[in-house]
Amino acid sequence: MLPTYLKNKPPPKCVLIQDSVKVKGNNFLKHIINNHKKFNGVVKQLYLEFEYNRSLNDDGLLKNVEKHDFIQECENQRTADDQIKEILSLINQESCIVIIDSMAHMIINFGKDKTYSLVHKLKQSNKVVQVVSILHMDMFNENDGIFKYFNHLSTLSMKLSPMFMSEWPRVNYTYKKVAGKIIEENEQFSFVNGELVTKAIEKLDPKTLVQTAPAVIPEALTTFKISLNESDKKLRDNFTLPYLPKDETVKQEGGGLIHYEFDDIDDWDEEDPDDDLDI
Amino acid sequence: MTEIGADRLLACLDVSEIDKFVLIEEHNLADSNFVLSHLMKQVLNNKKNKICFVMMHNTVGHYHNVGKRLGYDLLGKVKDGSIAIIEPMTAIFDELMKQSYGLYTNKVLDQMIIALETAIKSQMQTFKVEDGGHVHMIIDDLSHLFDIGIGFGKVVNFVSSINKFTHQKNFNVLINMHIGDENDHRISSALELIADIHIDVAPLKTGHSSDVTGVLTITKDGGGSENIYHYKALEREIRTFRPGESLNFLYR
Repeated sequence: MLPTYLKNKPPPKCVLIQDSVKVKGNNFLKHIINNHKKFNGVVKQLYLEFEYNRSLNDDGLLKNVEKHDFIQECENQRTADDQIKEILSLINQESCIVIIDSMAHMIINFGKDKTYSLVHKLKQSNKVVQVVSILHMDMFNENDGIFKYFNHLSTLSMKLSPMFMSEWPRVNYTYKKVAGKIIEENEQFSFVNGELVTKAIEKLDPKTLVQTAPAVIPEALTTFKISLNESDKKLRDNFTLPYLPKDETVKQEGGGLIHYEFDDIDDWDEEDPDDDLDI
Repeated sequence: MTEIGADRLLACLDVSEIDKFVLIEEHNLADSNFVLSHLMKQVLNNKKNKICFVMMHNTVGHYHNVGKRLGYDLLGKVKDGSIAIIEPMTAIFDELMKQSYGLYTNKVLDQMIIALETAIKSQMQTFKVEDGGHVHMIIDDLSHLFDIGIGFGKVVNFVSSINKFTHQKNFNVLINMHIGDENDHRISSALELIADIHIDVAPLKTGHSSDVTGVLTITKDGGGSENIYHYKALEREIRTFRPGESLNFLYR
C-alpha cells in the first residue's frame, strides 16, 4: 500500500509525483513533508523553490524547512551551471532531504539533460536521504521523453489521474525496492484528516453487474401506451385473423364456382338479359 | 440597466480580494475583454486600490471607452496615480522606429522580457498602498508574448516571477490569455495549477445563436466548484444567465 511504502525505513531514495491540472499533487508533497517532520525530525529538509507554491506557504509547512529560492528573476539572472553548483554545495554539508518544487520549472530553466544529471547526482549522494520532486505533466508533451527518463531515474514514481470507475482519484505507482523487487500498483487515494489513505480499485464483476442492473420497464421509457390491460388482451385472443384457415369445414366446390351469400340489403334480380349468366 | 447587468456579471464571477491569482482564458473566437473590464470596475470600487495594467491587446482609448460605459474614468484614474499603464507593444514599436533591428535575435527578445519585468516591478514598488488597499497587476493578454517570439521557458519564468509577488498580503494578479496553439495550452496548464479562480470564456460548441454569445465557466478550489453561465453581449451591456434561462431575461 502506498502510505506504507512512503513511510518505509530507509525511505525510497527518489520520489517523483506526476500530477496534472485535473488532479493536483500538492497534498502528496505536504504529506511527505509532514511525515518527515514527524518521523525524521532530525534530518534537515531542503526545499528548492523553482515556483512559488502558495498553498504550501500559506499552510505554514515550510516553517522548519530550509527554503532556497531559484526562481529566475530579471534582476539576478543566474546561469543554470551556477545554480546547479549552489545546489550541489548545499547537499554536501549534512544529511538532508531534498524537495524540488517543481521539477517542471527546473527542466525549463536548466534543460532536460542538466536536470537529469543533477537529480542523478542527488540520488547517488550518500548525504541525501531522499529526493522528492513534483512534475506537472501538462507542461510537457509525451514526445519530449521527459516522463520516460525521470520515471526511469526514480525509485518511487506516482502518476495521479482523475477518478474513473472508482470513488476517489487514482494513483498508479511503481516502487523499485532496494533488493530489486519492483511493485507496480493502481490504487485510489484520498486525504482523510491530512493522512493519506489508499485502497484497491475493485474490479467490477460483469455477472453481478448484469444481475444488479435495474430491470428495464419498457412502458416507463415512453409516454405512449404500449402495454395491454386485461380487456385488451381478451379482445386480442378472441380476434381471428382474416386469411388464416377457418375451423369449420367448407364444401369444396369444383370448377371455380363462387358461392356468394347475399347480405340483407343486397338487391339481386334473378334475370339474365344477355343469356350468359347461366342462372 | 447597465449597472444591473454589470453587477449581475460580477456576482456570477464571484471574485473577491482573497483570490490572489485570477486567470481568464478565451477560446477560439470568443472575446473575454468584458470580464476584464468588469473586474476592473470592481477593483476600482475600493478607492484605496491601485492597478498596474500591462496592455498588449487593446489601446488605452478602448479601455477608457469601455470604462466610461461601465461607470469609471480610466484616464482620470491614470492622472490620479491609481492606475499605471505599461504598453510593451507601443514601446517596441517606438524602438523599431528609432533603429532598424532587422530580425529579432533571441538576445533582443530576452531583453524585451527583462525590460517588461523590470518596468512592472519598479511600478509596483513606486505604488504607495494604504491599509485596506490592494495592488492589482493586470496583464492583457499573455499570449501576445508568444506572438512576438518570446520562448515558452521565458514566459513561464516571467509568470513565476510575477506569481512570487503574491506572497505579499495585498498583491493580486489577473492574467488574461487567448488559447490558440500548443504553447498556449502548456502555459495555460501551468497557470491553471496556480490560479485561485479560473474563468473560461468560450463560444457555444454547437454554433451561433442569436440568444447566446458564449459560455462562461468559473472554476474555483482547484476544480472543486464549477459554475457555468451563458452570456449575451449587447451593445451597452453583457447579460449573464444560467444555461436555458435565456428566454426569461431576469432584468425586467
